[in-house]
Amino acid sequence: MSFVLILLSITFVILALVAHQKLRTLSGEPQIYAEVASELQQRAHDLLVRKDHIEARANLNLAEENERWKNDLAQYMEDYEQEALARRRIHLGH
Amino acid sequence: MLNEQLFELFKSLEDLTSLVYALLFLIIFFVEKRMSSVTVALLVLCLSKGMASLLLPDLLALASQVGLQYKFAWYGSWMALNVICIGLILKFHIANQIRASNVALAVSLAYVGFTAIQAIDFIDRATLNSGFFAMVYQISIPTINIGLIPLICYFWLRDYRKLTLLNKES
Repeated sequence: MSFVLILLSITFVILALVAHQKLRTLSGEPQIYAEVASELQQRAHDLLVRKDHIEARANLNLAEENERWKNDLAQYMEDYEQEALARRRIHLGH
Repeated sequence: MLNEQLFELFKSLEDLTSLVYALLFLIIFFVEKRMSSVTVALLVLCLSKGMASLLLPDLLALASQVGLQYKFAWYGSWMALNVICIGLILKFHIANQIRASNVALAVSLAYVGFTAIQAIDFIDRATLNSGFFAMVYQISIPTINIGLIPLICYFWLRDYRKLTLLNKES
């Protein structure tokens, strides 16, 4: 009799712990966001490297290259903003 | 004796906690104006306090009878109530797709603590009957109840500050 009751109380504790653990996984950043953030970081790094290359070279087609770089930068900033908005909507509920 | 007076003070402070929880819930709800992780946690906290005060007289009458099963009725129903509360917090978060805040985590951790203390005390009663854990039980539960209040305030204010900083930038 008492054995069953003790087992039951231990079950309650385990249930509570499992639910708490599930709640804790809800508090962290989901994996997909970390991946997207890392991709955005990589793209920013590539853009900076390209800018360095353009500045180091004194070529004739500098203007055209520069223009392309600027377009890419604008595209990147747009993506970044979209991502930030989506993240804010999910995490903060605005 | 000083110790006893201290304990009495402790008990009377604990009676106030449910009022403070309800007050905190109202303040936070009026400031945030939406269901968030913090308000859900506080709502469940108030609900469990209300349920506890409803159940208390019946359970006391039940627990005063002799027999282990009556003792289990007391401990088991508190444990079940705590587990239901954690489950409710979890379900609310999943249903509304909100991220769990530190406040919700603290509240659910407190429930885990209550459940563990109750289980340990019941096991002690069922096996050794040393009475040591009965004292631990009497002191630790009011301590957790009172300690939750500053914890909730601190975590909520930190989150709120972060939120206002975010809103200012946009």
